[in-house]
Amino acid sequence: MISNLDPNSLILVILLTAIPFLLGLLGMTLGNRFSMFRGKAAGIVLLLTSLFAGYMLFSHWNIPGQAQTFSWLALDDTGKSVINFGFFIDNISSLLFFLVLLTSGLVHLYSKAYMGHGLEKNDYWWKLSFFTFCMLGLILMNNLLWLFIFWELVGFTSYLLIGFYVQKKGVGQSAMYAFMVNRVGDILFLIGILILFVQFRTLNIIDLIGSPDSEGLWSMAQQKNDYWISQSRSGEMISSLPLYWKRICQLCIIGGAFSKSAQFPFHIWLPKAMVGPTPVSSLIHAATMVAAGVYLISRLFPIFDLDSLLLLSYLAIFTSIIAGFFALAARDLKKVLAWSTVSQLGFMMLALGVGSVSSAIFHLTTHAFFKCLLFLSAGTIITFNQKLQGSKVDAQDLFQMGGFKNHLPKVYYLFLIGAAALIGLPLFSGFSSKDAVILAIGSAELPVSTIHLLSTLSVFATLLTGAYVARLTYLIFFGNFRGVKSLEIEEATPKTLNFYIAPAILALLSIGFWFSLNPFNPKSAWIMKGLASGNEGGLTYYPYLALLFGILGVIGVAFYFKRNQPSAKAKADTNFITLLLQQQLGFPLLINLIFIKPVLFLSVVFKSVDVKIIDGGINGLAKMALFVAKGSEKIDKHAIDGVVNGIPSGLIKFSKQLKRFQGGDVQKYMQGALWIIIIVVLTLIIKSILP
Amino acid sequence: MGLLTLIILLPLLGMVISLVIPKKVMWIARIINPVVAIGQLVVWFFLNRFTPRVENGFKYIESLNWINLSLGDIGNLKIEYLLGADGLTMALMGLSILIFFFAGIASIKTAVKPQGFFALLLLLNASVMGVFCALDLFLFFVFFEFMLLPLYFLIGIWGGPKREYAALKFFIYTLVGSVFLLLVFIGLYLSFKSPETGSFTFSFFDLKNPENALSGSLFHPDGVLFGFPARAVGFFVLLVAFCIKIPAFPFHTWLPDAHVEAPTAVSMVLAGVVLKVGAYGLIRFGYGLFPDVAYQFSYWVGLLGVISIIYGAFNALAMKDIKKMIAYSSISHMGFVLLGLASITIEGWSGAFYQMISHGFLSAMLFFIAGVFANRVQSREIDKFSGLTTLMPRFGAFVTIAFFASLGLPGFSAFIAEIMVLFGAFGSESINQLVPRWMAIAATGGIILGASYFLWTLQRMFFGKPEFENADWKEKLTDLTTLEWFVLLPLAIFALVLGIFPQVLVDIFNGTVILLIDQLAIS
Repeated sequence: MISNLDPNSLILVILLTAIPFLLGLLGMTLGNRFSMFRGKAAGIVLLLTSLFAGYMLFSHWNIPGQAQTFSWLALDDTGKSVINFGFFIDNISSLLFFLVLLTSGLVHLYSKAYMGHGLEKNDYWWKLSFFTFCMLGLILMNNLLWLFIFWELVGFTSYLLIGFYVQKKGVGQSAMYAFMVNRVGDILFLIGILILFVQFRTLNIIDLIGSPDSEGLWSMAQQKNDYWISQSRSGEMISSLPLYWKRICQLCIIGGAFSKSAQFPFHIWLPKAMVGPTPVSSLIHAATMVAAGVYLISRLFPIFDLDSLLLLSYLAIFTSIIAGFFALAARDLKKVLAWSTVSQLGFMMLALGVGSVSSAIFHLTTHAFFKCLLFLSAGTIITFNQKLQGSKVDAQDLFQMGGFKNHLPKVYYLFLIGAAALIGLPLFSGFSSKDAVILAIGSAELPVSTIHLLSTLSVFATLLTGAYVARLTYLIFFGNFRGVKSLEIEEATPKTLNFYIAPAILALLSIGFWFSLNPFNPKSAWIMKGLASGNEGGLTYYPYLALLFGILGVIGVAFYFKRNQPSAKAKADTNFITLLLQQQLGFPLLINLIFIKPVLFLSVVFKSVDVKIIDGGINGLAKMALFVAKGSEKIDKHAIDGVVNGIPSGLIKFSKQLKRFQGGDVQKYMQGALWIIIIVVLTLIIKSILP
Repeated sequence: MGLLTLIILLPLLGMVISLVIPKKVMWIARIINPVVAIGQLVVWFFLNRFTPRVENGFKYIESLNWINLSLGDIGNLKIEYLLGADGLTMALMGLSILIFFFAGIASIKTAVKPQGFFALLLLLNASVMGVFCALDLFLFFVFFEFMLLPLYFLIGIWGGPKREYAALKFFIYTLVGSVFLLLVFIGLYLSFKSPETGSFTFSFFDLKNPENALSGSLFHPDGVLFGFPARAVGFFVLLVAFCIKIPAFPFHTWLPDAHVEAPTAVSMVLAGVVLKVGAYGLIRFGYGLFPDVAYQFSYWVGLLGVISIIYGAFNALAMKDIKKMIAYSSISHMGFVLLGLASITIEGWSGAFYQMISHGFLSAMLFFIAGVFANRVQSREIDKFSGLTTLMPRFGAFVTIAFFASLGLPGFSAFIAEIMVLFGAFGSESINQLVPRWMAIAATGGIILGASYFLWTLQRMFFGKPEFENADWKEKLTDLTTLEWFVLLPLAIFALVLGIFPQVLVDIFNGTVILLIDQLAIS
């Protein structure tokens, strides 16, 4: 069995998780009264917190996982309807715990410079801190339902932050779009949880997947005659489901993970999320939240069988390649980075698909630092460009930039480090982790042809990476400035130190040395050793090919720009294929056509069913009742008296009655309703009396 | 006098006070609703404190002879004043008291005929309390009908432009339900004899035991009506009667009209409390008196639930009036109650109970929010608003909370309720083969739709720049007043606390759920 968390670590974990929560709570409730809880102070507090997290990582590294469980919701005494709350600390969670706190602290620090002082920015701080808390919760939870709770809260805070610039056109729509795509994935994840709970009557991750010295309930379950039968540790049957639910469960959880990690077909939300403030994009939509899907699959890895994983691999590499193409065509600086994130997440998913949790988490970690760095640099570039050209210009448009190398030298070098790590050049962190992923493909337990296919595709994806990174770097920093200056360069240059501290630290962390003393052998990286999984051996030459093609991509783009100087009139640069790629091959249109439009159409149909058929039926019934009431009244008055009074006057009265009936005379209405009831009751009674 | 009677009498006392109070001290009448609710809450706490966690059936039974007529050969007509409370009653009473408290505060500024309004609200309060604890069927029916009266006038007099149509529609629908109810109740009365007195009985305790049925009578287990087993017909008729109140598809069309025309406080009570009476009746009398046939109807109850969930959600998506949107979302959310009940599992029933309470708070909050618009600009059309976050940041925060809580964001009560219902509904096929698994999966579709209509409304009304057709709206749309704060904040806190510490509420009704499920399983 898994051991309990030692009390000191438990208290430490709770305290460290509570700090961002308290920061958020104070920021929210105190409003603009105490600015000390915002920005720099919050950043420094979180960085200090991350030091403790670093200590925890250090002291917990490579000791077996520990868990602590508390009773949260118990519906019966037999323990069959119990949901627990609990922490689970092992190498993965303590690593990510540290990672989240560190990047969050840095981003808080940077945000102070980026967001400025305005009072209307108040909400920003508590939302960012609250996000950090939710992300930490997600990482620590031992119970899948609790993981799901934080999983959705993370999506919620992401929604709040994407929608931060409420007044800007299209922001609300983008925030909703991102949340809805995530929501669909969340529901898939929820269905997975439903299946797991019904089948195993527990949602404790450790019970489900097992620990090194005890088998998990998932693997103890048996398959008999198309049924999937779960057993408790004492061998009693818990429940059984038709076998296909096992596959559905795996696919649903993969679907949930894909939606958070923006993998095909859920990749559409991430570029939309870029309307949020840039530091938010760097923390939430590059470094942490989007990695949650990778984390989830890593956490539940033992429940996936080879078929599900193979499907996951193909989807992941497909995502990686199309996102690479999209990044190559995008005009918006942040969208290039967003597509690059999607592409790199595809790499991590691919690593999981071929069975290597360690290289996936390794790449997740290195990617978090260098992508965060790239986004923060982008933030500075955008701030500079906006000031330089005034607020009317789209400062994120790559074709409104150029030649920034001389204007923003510090940013230039920081950006280059991030870019080098992203391409995977030797000595940078991305090199080792990408190597690790590609080596893992080479040693996967798959048919040789599949291995070659996946490896080749991933080498191709690195070629794309090299190309879009080179294009991005060139368009920002080289060539001539393509915009119109409305301000002197000197005035526009961001000078606040906070613009540079956090990126500098992240640049330092993007050096390969921190992860592996021998930068040419990814297996020697401490993360790889700590999370040992996957196989040794296999094909080892693909990483070199990947490096070669990455560099080739850079060189190719460099040559291209040598011959075709980009011009401010970007239309000239837009050919049909670029346009198609910018429209994501029409995929969002397809989603619109097959999901959003039909739902809206159905809602209108259902509305008219409600008004015309159901309510109309009721009204019709009431009118009929009224008519019957009139009829009886008429018989009473006219059929008997009318013989005397003559038919003409009766007709006049009839039409008058009809008018009153159309006006909906209240009393008549009630009378009619009573009549209908009486008739129904009478019929029933008569029916029961008759033989 | 028992404490349950006290809970019923307090609002009646308040009603008398509010009616006779001189105009000079009108403020007393204005605060009488909240004050009465506080008094009731004290009594409720006192009652609840002594309810042990696992409780065996009813507590605090109060029994008095009310009507006792000798009918010669047939026996005695005996109607009792019989009150009792179990976990379900306690939970719903607690909810109702709180909702009446907030509705009282929300209506504190009523301008037109204030005394009548407060008196009717108190009368409604008393009848609701009576409904939840009456255990004599006749007494229940009396309270049930008495609920109708104040609601009819509250909507018909203080409502919006089409108030008469709405009030009448509400009245007729409910009347039809009542007639069905009465038919079954009379049938039950004529079929059962109390083992102690040997006379016909309306007592819940005598009626729930099929052994007390007279052989050859209608609701004897062998009784037949129109070629169907009579008990099945009885359950079906009760189901229809209470589905009108819940309301479930296709008996729901009174709800949007009633809500749109009702004043804010009445909407809060209608959605927060009155809808729960339908679900309560179904549990207490449908499942309680016909446990043997309830199983056979589970599929249909579940189906009604799922259709309500999906259908209500689609309709909510199409609505242009925010109050109508909320009304249809109520139908969708109450569908979860039916789905949970249909599963007859501990998770499903706990979820259904939880959903009733959770929806009580959240719908009251939502309708109050709709009232905030109506108070300021007399319009609730979604497309006429934009950029409200900028004008009314605090209000925007509460709307965000209410909407996200209602769409089932974890951390709020609706999530706990929905997840329990889904656990129950999905597990049912493995445990008792009652509700097929696809229903649970289909219900999750309703959750996705729920997110879409709430977020779409949020996007259209609160994002963007504050630009309106009418120029004066910018001045009229001011942020929340203290009074509005005082309603919204506690409701938000309730939703939050129930979302994070569900055991607090589960403990109140858990024993009852286990007991009821056991009883159903035996029969």
